[in-house]
Amino acid sequence: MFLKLAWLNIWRNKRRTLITTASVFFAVLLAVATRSMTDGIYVNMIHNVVSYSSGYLQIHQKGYWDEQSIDNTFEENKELTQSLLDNQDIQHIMPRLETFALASYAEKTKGVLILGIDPEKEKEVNKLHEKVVEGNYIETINDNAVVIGEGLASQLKLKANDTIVLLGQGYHASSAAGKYRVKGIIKLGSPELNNNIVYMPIQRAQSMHGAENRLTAISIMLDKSSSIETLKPSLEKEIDTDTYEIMSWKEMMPEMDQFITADSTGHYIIIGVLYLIISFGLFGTLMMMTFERSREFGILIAIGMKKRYLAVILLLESLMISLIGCLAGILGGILIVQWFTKYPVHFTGELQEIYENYGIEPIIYFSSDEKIFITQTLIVLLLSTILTFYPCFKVMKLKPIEAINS
Amino acid sequence: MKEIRPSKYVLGMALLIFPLFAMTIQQELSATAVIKKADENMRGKTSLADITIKIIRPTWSREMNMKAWSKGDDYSMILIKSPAKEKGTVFLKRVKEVWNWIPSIERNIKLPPSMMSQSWMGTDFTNDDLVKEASSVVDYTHQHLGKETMAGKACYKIEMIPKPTAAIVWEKVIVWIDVEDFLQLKAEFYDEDGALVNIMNSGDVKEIGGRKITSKIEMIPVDKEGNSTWIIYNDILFDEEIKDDFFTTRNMKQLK
Repeated sequence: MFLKLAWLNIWRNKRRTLITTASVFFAVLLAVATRSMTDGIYVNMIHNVVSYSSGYLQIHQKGYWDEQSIDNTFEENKELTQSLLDNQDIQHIMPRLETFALASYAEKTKGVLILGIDPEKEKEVNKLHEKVVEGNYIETINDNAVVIGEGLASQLKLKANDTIVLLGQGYHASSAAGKYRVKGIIKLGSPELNNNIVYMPIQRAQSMHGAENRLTAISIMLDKSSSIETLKPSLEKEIDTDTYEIMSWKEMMPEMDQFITADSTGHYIIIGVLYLIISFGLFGTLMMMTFERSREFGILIAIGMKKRYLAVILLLESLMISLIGCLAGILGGILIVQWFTKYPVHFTGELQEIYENYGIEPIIYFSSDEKIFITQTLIVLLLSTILTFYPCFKVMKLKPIEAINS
Repeated sequence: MKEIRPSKYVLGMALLIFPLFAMTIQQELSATAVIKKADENMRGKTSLADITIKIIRPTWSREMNMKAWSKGDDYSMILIKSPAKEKGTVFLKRVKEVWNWIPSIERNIKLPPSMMSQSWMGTDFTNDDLVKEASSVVDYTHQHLGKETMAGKACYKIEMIPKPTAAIVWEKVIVWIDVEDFLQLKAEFYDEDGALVNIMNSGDVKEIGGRKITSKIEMIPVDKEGNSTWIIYNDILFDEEIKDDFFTTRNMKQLK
């Protein structure tokens, strides 16, 4: 009965209803779009940085992170690898041997980061082969060649197919020295990596350091949307935590996590302001409606309508309007997000350079995480419900005679 | 004749006393002389040694075999013979320079001064120890601290304090030198704060190459528990003729 009344009521003045619905619609749309965009940017940024460096999660020998020496490596373990691969959430695991060494070519010498990798897996996960700007990519783990960062190559004044000399500290105080052909030169976004990295097939890196079959880390790649917070504890139960330690990128790269938190706070403030504007818009329409209909309310009460029932009807009316607006907003939001997921926005010019300097693809991705839709819609719905109490309150206070005469 | 008697007695007494007197002189040998004797004992004009070095760490250990040539204070050459991975690596010390030939990269590297205080081949010895610019005789002042028994042998305990002009990182070094054979059995190295940093124990006295030497030397860094390095002399030849031009960077590459 109330529902029917409310439903009929809102379509009595179509224009008013449409205006209110539209303001809710745009509110939801805007909130969803901004949130989805910022989240998309973060997720993409994390994915970019993480796939070239640490991975989302890393497993080390216990104590490795505090003392990153080649002596704190662990032996590659089939059982561990298998149990990781069996996990549904884990997309890829990448064995790595990471050390520091001196690299020398002709007269130049420079400290470098040696990353022993499985070339095929890196190719699959972060498309390393597409970043080669000169020469070729290392194809197999047995390839006796390295790929180095473009910045490093230019500092050593070295070209593809030159021979680089590497000298470092090996496992258990052995020496680590070797000559390697530079098969390709790779251009990476992060200047830190670009200027220091030497990618080497893991087998080669292990024999250079006298650390056969040993790894400094297993990098774990997850789907962009997987939750590290739930996966990490579940993995900790599976692996032997007396021998291994498991760390998330947030622990390994706290500066990036902090940057995101700080940047995210800024966005929350902007969204807060957005909500404020939306609320005032809604409030305005509701106030107008109350004024316009005060004569009607007065008459209704005068002919015996209970104030309480009238308030409930009003509440239902605005809930209906908000719901319609929200649903429309979600639909619109999904369309926008889908459109941009299909055709992401590419930055050009200066902005592109800035992004590339940070090691991030100059592309705006939109996050299609359903959480965003739900929370943003709920927030807008809540706001409009709170605001509806204003007309209800007015009705309860209404003096029928004054209202009819006004 | 009766008059001569007392003089005979005196002479007899003198003959009896003199050796005793001489012995006290021997015992009162200056600290510097003791150090000099000990230094000469371990160092010939030249030496050619077959050495095993053992690195001991809490969780692992490692053994290396090497051949070492030396001539006086200025020249020495070390060739690593095993393990296979390091085989052929050569270190050359020439006056104040240290060169390192690494066959796997075919490079001869001159160790920069900044690397001198770093570990040599992962041992508890530094590159600087290898160069041993300082001479324990010339660069220190020596002082007796009395006698102590060390490993069942009577030893001189001598404090060595670097001369202000010498480039030595220690505040003082205390050494124990065997009274009988003049072999250094123990040394303690103290840093500028007076804290004990390294202990060097020598033992296993053997006659090798016609000399009595301590064939086992153990270096223990005090602040790293469970770490130590052993140097074991398997064989040593003293005073064989080695020409100066043996100690060249060119020769490093063809050493066997």
